Amino acid sequence: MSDQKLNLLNLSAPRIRLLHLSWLAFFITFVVWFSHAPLMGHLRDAFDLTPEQIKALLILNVALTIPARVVIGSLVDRFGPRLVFGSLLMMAALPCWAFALSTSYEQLAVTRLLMGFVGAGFVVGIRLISEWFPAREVGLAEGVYGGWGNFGSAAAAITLPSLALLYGGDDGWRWAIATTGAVAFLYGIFFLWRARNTPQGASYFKPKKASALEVSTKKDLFFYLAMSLPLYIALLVIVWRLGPTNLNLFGQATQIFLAALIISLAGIQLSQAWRVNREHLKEGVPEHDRYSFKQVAILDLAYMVTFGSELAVVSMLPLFFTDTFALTAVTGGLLASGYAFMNLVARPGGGWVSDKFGRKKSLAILLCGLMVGYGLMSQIGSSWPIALAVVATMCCSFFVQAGEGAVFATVPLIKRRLTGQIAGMVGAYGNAGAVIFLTVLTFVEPSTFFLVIAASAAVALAAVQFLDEPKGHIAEIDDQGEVQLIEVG
Amino acid sequence: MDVSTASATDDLSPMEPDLHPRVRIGQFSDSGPKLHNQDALAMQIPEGSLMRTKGIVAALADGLSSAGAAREAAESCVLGFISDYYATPALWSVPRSAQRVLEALNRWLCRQTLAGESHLCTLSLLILRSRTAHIFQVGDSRVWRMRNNKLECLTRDHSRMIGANRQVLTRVMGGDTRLDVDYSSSDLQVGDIYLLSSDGVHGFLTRSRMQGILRGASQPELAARTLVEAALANGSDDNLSCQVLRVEGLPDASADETLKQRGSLPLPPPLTPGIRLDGFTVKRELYASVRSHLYLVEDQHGKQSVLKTPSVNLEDDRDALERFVMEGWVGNRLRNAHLLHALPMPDAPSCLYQHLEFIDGVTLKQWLKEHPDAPVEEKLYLADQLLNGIRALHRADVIHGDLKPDNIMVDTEGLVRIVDFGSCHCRGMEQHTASIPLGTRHYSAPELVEGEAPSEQSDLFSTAVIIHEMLTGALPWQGRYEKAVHRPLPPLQGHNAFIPLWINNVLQLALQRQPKMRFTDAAEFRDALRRPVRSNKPVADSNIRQLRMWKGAVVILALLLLISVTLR
Repeated sequence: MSDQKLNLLNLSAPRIRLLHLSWLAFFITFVVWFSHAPLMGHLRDAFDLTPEQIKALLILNVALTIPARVVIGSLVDRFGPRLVFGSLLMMAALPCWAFALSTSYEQLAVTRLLMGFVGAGFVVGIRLISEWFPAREVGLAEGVYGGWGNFGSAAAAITLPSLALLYGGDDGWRWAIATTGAVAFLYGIFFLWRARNTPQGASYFKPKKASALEVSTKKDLFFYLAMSLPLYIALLVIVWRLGPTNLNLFGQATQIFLAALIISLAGIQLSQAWRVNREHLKEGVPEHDRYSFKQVAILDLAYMVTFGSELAVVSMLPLFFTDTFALTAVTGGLLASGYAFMNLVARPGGGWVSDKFGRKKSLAILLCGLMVGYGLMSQIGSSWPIALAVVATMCCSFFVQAGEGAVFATVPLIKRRLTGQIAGMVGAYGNAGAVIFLTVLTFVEPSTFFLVIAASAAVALAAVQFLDEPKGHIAEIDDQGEVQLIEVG
Repeated sequence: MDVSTASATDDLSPMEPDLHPRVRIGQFSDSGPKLHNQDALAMQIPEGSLMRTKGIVAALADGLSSAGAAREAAESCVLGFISDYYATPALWSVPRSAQRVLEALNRWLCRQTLAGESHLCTLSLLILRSRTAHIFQVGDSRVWRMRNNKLECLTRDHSRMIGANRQVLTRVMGGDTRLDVDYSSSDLQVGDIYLLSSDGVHGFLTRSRMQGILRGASQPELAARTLVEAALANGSDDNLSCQVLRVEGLPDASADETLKQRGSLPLPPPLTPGIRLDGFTVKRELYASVRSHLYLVEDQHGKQSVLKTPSVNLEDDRDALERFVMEGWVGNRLRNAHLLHALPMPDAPSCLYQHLEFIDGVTLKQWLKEHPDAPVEEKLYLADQLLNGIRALHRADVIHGDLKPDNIMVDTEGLVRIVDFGSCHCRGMEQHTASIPLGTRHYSAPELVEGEAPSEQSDLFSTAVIIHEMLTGALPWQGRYEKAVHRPLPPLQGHNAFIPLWINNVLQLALQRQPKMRFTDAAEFRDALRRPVRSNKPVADSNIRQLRMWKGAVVILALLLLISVTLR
């Protein structure tokens, strides 16, 4: 694991071509998904939005992603990653264009909500990469995929305000957003044309029934059920926050309907988890097949504060900069893009650090850095020199993204067989984190918002202390070049 | 005649307790009031790998007293069966092995009978392997099972009453060159007692009496003796024989000897050139995928071979590792010029891998790419070799399960080799079918997609797809085999005008939607490709038309019915 090499320029290798193809797809989903953030200033002017309305838009954008991941996951099982990712990109164009054509706040809200589906594209690519790369390369490949794809939000922040300016006029932002939709649509076609589900000649294997995660003991089952609840609670919080008593986006009846929908969804999932596990727990899980669910829960929390905070901060940072330092949308977006810029190196780097220095230690250190970083960001005010503020966000984001890389470097080591499902749950927690933090933002000022993230990082840091360093066989090459196998605890 | 190859009272399980069924056995035979004992009985509990592949055998034969050489017949049946059964290839399943041996024995007996002295006997066989009991029966000796203190007869007598009290056998060993053996199998349970008896015993004891004796006796040996004595006391006038087997332990369903021995080995790390492992020096990586790696290695003498290692992705996928070990085991037992050979493993391998011969060549896929204009005869020659390889595989009772151009190598001499037995369906091993991976979509027979188990016919379908692709460069029906029901195969000449017309018919037959309508085996397919078939008529087309006609009729009738109902 420690000497991973990946020659990204070796385009004659089909798997490298596929990696480029899929990170670019993910990159474009991110551009489309976060196209609203750098243009929020324009939106505010065009629709006379209140700060509450803006914050509501930010939440709506990430709300649907949590359930969408489940839907997309099962679609991938049935139709394969190529078809799902390609059509997801093409379909993304529709709400994107609808958003560009909106004439009322309600339309903005609904189209943003639908955009949440695009955010689930991540799952598809991860599946694709794991089909193509042998184990010794897959960690790095997924780091590149995730990191460079996430960079899409920075790309959106950098380019979209300028693009809007280029189109000019009051409707420049509409054209800019519509352009991202067109790019997604065209790239979707390209992706369908070029991508393949598996390498040439590879067998396809029966997909495991991925309805729910298998756990090893009764205690872990309850732990698992308890850990599934927050995802739905996050959705309920959104519904409540957007409801008549708060942001008043819809009426009482809709609110009750949505809440009922979410609760029944939760009921279905929990009973599924119960059914899947009850049966196999009855027979007892053999020793060699056991794992501790605690490990998953800890990674859930770590990913919630890393990826969750990234999504949340990326959504609000351009407007925060514009407002705090009285900048134009272009400069605001440009400076805010510094946050996501680090993705290019930080996420793969986090995986590398984790391989090199041990999972637990690197996670703890990265979370510490993250905590300090957000603490620093909470102090940013109009009195700060802008350069310093940008440096602070970049430092902070390095730890955030390296932390994401470190989490995903640990995921496959918990239980190889269940890697896909564990990754799914961890990823969902990332999205839930975004929802929770953005909901917090609707109540408080940005400085407090950053402090809340720092505080949750402290909780995650405490949790990481309970992580057991994953076991594995490690190989050493002795002086004569002979392989020595050592089992490490 | 009492032949016993294992002493009756020892604890007869030399093996580790959880790998094989553990049984206690006992047998007893008495000539009764007759002068000669024409019954023969034998049991064998083999050692080592035979226990795993072939299991425990109990055989009981009852020579027909009317036959001249009854005693010889019974004796050779029992002894011949045991020695020949254990000599069958390790890959053969129990039913296949037993059936083959029984047919050979029967032919031999028939020849003896025709030569003058009638060699006739009944035969009951019980084979306990893994967690299954296999029962074979010819004649009127019986196999019983006592489970939960209830005795139950598992066989049906092949005899008929003629007149008031004359009973004749309808089936015997050595009676006819065509042999009809009753076969059944059932799950084993701890505490089961199996009983084989000749008619001298069960003809003179009621079922409840036998049940009582079996329940009362502490040891199988004692039970066998008591049964015989009780029947004698009841006035039995025939030879009396019985065998008793009590199941005392069963292997864990998932326990597997080879896996226990080798599956516990660690997985090798990714290897780089120059690294040495168990005396092999890695030269370069040949192939790496999500599931396995292939390395070209050299031993101390500079001989090149290949190491196949499982990917760390499979680290805790027990099914996959088990299959990996199985793949090596199967490869080791296949010997044919057209099948990849597995080379011997070092004495104590330090980690899990397979040692395979190195084939200096390319995959068929690559070969086709490099020789797009190869003459049809050359391609047909490759197809011929391919079918020879498949024939050898099927004869060993192994279904390949994933035949495709990537799993076929053509070496520099033009020799075709089938490689990658990772999806093998091995009848002899009783794998859990659920754990066997599917083949590759475009090369899988349509019935597999619907969830049926792979068979010889599905392998032949895949082969036909490969041959079609070799000849034309395209998949039949563009890979949509569900269309095979509705549309005949488009003529191959559309792709390559040099393909002889009769090949169309051969492939059409090999690509039938219904497995039963395809060639019965690889040899038939091969021969069809060797010899031009005169008829040019499309095969089995009439069936499709008929089906369509009936479907149409049903639709019309349904419409008429609907109209009449609405107009009423």
